[in-house]
Amino acid sequence: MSAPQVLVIGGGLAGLMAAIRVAEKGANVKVFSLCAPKRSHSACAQGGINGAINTLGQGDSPKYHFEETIYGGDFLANQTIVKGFTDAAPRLIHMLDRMGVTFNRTPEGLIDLRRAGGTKFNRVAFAGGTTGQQMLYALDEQTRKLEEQGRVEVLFPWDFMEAIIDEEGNCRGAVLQDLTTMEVKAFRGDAVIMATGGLGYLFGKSTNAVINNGSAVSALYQQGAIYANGEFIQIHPTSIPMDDKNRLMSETCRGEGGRVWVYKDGKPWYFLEEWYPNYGNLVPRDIATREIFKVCVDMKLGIDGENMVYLDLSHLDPNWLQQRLGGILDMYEIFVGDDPRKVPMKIFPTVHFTMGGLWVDETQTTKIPGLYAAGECEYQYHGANRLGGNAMPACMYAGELAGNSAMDYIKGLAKSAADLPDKVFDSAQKKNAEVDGNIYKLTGTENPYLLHREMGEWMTNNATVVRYNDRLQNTDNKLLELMERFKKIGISDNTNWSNQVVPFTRQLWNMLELSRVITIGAIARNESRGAHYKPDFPERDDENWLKTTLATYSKDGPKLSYEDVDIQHVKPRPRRY
Amino acid sequence: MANKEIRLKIKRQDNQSSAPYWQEFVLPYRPTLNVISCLMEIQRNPVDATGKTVSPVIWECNCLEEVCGACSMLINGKARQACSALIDKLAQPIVLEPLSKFPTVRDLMIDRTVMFKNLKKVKAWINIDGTHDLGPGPRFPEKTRLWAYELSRCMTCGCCMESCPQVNPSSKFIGPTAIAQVRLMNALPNGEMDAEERLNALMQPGGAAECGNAQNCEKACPKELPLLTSIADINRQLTVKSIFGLLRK
Amino acid sequence: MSSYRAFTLRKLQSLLGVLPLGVFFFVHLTLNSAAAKGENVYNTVIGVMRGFPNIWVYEWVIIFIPLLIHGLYGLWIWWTGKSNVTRYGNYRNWMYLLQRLSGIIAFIFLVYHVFVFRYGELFFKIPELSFEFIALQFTDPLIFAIYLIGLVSAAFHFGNGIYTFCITWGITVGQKSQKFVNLVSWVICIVFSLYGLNSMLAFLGKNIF
Repeated sequence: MSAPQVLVIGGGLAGLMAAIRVAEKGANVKVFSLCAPKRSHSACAQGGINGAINTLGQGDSPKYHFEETIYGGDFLANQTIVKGFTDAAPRLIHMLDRMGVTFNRTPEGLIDLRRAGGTKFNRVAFAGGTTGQQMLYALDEQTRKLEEQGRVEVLFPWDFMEAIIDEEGNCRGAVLQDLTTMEVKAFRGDAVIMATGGLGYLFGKSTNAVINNGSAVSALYQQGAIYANGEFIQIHPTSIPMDDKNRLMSETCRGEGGRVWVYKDGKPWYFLEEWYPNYGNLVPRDIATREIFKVCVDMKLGIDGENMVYLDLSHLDPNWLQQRLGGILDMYEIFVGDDPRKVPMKIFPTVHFTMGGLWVDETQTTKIPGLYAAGECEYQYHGANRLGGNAMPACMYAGELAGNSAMDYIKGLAKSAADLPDKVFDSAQKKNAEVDGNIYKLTGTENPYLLHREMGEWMTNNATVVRYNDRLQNTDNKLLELMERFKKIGISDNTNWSNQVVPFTRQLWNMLELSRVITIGAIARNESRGAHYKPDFPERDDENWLKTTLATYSKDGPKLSYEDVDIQHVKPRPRRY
Repeated sequence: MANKEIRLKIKRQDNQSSAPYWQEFVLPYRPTLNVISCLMEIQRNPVDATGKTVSPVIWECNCLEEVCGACSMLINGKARQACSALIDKLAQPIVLEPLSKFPTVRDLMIDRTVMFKNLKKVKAWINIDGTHDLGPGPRFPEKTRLWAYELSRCMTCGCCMESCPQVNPSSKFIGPTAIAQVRLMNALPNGEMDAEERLNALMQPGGAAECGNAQNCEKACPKELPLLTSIADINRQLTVKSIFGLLRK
Repeated sequence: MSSYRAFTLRKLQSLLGVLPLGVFFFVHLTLNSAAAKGENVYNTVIGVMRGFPNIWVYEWVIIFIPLLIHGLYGLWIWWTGKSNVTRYGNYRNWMYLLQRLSGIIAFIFLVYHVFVFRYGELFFKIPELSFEFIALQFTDPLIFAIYLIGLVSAAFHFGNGIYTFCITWGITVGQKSQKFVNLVSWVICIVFSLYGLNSMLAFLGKNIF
């Protein structure tokens, strides 16, 4: 049997890690990405990567990392798999170090660590204020090396349309569209690894890149893969609200000593420090978000009456700040015009991370055999709220694991994708080409970009920080209305060369489907847990809701079912910071 | 603000082989806009200044935080990232063109494959044994790391290539990006082992010696990478290697 | 395929500009300065130089061949660059353009200069080189202007060439050292220009210092 063929969809941290691992194990790999892998959204992870390497001698260990991750995630994450990732995190940091990531150093030349929210240890290895960029580049360089050796092929810009599933229900490849020639093409693959990231763009403005639309994941959900914990969307407490997007201001600003405040009775009021004496400004994201929201929306104490609070670094030494946070402070200065080393930054919460995602088992396998998922597009590491610094090690770990699992799976395959009749692939290609052709034929009056904005505004207003069932219901009605109006879209670009309108329209439909998963999942979950907060149900309800939400696609909308959470290592206790 | 509208003049091109043409757009003014939000506005309402419905402008962008390097274009003649180009700071009409040193795919979208090929040429990677567990990496002095970090922020956006008079169709010059990445890789403790191979690559036609010292690159770099020092440092490494290499024979 | 030819040529081109050409430029100006001492001294000095046995070997090895390599390969370098000062009006970008322009001007000038002053008798039946002949030539304002332009171009090209040489060979790596050599390069340009101009004026019986 010739070398197996693996398709990796997505060229971010998780995707590249999977691709490298699979190539090392001898498979031929095709990595498909919407953009050059170097431009993936992983580059935007600012803060760093958690791993209990304990170079500062604080007594940190993977055990604490594990416990704090579970606690921070409000006990919704399956514990055994999280344990795997927290145990592996130090090894992953060392591997990245060997790949040349320019992690900040201690005086002895060891990896320096800083603090993130929800922990009392310095556990975040970091490279200035652009750690994700450095990590992505390291993997990108390794991928390039493998590409040079002919073991990996990187293709971009290609958009995922559908998985190819054979008669036995196994995934045998994928149909993608070349976004330059607009060709729709089926590719054979013995295994397909999804690593397509989060879905922030579904909310219109978020900290996510505009390519994080969740479209690929939604397509799989519509093909029968289960989507889990859709209602858990992390709102980052500190972002810079702007017209085209809300730009992230890293949690490490708080980790390095940044203080959050507003004026109250004419004096600075450090409300997080007052309300959370133990963690102060470093409470986890969901809590910081809700408190900032409360101060602005309920107490009307936002800066100049607007929905913004101060994030203040101006009391710290500017040179030290430059060394620790350089990149992001420059970014603030470029986009806002104020120097955060001198004046406090103005920030407000925004959609940041997708805790939910494709359901996978402990081998990263989705409900469809041969189809794997890793990184932000799957659900299993962060529970109801992700801790700062955990996204990147989880991506790396899952990518590696997915690669290993895919190779194990391929070994047990009776027939390789190459041996299957052309018919399977031709029909999938033809079907998707038709889907594409039908979008070209839309000649109505609606503009897909306007529909997207409307969807984003509704989702942001009603399905983020604070959730009420009636408003969520209205949102779902709105989504149904938008799905109707979708049919009346007029395509403003009919060319078949580097057309952006047609793929966007396809992605928009997928976003609408996923928006319903989020909304309906949120309506059902009558409790408050992690990022999911309902004032009408302000407490966590373990008796009824210590469960993973599973959304299954049907023509009439998502069907919800629930599955128990693995809690064999740490007994759930109330989450109080 | 005095401007109640934003005027854009955009150089468009339907495909790789067709002739470019200009189109003007007038958009309502809002504060804190950047070039990207204007292009997004055109997607929502693809009508040019004469009121004619046109196809939306094609461009590439991802992160909008000046980290991914995707949205490079010529804005009022200068290569830069569209996401960090704030309308309030630009003279109008704002002229948008694709970068001229790369093949145009469509409108403002360009093909920068050559930059990734160059990174391959110079072997800009650490030749690790594998991703298996090999324990901690080597120690690395913070002093060196500080400037190495600067170089590791290169997002392959192409602004330096665009500004370089030595990068053009009649030259093979590899450009500042790849040279700077060689300096970075050669400075890393694991990377040093393959320093010679990378330098060899930079001694090939189009290599570091073809820098013309116009020194636009560092000024054009949106991340203000120390490109000039990097090129000079690579020249030093090449001098040492070529002279002492010869003498060792 | 591995080929070091382009690299070697570039480095050779850069080296030749300083050694021997730059050094010879200085020696040449020094010899010219004898003109300030009057017709007899000057004629004696060139007489001595010309009196060396097989002077043509030195001329070709130290001057003409390096000049041809430096100049012709320089033209190729000029050809493969594409100046963009209209878009990027940075100081160094202007210097990039001026380095190429001054090089071309100096090269054309030197070809003319060598043909008239060195091989004039051979090819054009021009009288043998002497103070008197040069003085006569310089009374023509056009020729004087040509020489002045040639001189300043060469002085600029050499001065700025030192700056780029120092980077090309990795001598000045940091910004501070590069800034310092930038200053040095201007000093060289100005000193060489004045040094040469002083000698030129000496042929017309004038002095600036």
